Amino acid sequence: MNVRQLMLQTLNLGLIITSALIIWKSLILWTGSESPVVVVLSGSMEPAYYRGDILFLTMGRRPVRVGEVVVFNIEGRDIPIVHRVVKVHERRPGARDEEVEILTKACPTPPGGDANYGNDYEGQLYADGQRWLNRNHIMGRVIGFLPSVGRVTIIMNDQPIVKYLLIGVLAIFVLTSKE
Amino acid sequence: MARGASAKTPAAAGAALAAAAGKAGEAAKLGKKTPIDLGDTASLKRALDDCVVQVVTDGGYEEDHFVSNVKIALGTVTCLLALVAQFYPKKWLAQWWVLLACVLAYGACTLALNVFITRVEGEVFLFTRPRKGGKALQASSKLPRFSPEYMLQLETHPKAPNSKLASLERSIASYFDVDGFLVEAPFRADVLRTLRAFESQQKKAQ
Repeated sequence: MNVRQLMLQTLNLGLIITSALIIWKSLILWTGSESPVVVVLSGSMEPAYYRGDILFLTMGRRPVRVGEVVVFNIEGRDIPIVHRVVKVHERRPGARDEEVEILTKACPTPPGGDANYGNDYEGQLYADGQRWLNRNHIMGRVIGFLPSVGRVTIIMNDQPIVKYLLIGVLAIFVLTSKE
Repeated sequence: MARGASAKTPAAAGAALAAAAGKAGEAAKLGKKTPIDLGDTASLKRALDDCVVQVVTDGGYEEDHFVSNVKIALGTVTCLLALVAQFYPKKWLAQWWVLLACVLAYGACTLALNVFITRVEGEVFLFTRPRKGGKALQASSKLPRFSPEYMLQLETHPKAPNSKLASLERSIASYFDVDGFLVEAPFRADVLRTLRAFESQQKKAQ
């Protein structure tokens, strides 16, 4: 196969891959969240959300409210956490993102439910010396979910070989297609 | 001739990727051509088109790579835009505008590429530069999915209004034997005849 045809075929493959990437990026732009689709990794929100559920997030400029389920990052932890907001302090109107204080708890139902767990500060989930979350820790609030579909992602994370196998099979299909 | 060798290998590559991979290995060692699955119209068309390219370039026309170059350039720019969007080294909020610009530019480039392909390229698989004293030609062909009728058209490039075209329309059964080998001699003769018809038409038009 001459160089020109090889380049055209490589670009074709590149365009397919990059179009998937761009769709993801436009989703990030549209929802305002840096990761609009996440997989639940822990069972702390059962029976509302189970391990392997997929959550759809948005961020936007709307204020964070008590009762919303949010996904947030903690310094020093790689994986984000999915819990419910139980307290919000806006000490003055128009407070900046760093000034809004948010407290979360692992409770499956809106507050008023069980008092068994402590909130996340009492549970020492936050970083050392951190009492509250701010808006900039929050990746997004949950606006929808798909049960169990994310189990595939968990399997692929636990056994990376499944990921490589899948990509290998897909690559073979694309390269040997007649178009 | 170098042109001949490179034109044979695309046909061989197309066939080798089908189930005949084992045969291809053997035949390649012997330096013979590989058979093409007679149900695979895409490979059949490709083999015939490659032969046409050979005949036309042997007839003194040089291939014009403009369309191919534009496709490669646009494709590369589009992929680079996506890479910039992915790997831009700034934190989330700062790069919102960059991301938006990349996504919109990607959409625009993809649209431009597709429009270019459908309007300028279409069915054409060969563009040439004008021969001395002659005109540039473009060769397009059709081989519908479940039909054995191969249709080749030679026209001037760019298309002149009211220009007639030279065409060849025959069943592929005239060129492929029962094992799937392309019998080049009759096909080359037909293509050469079509090329001469095209040239004499151009002379009359002038």
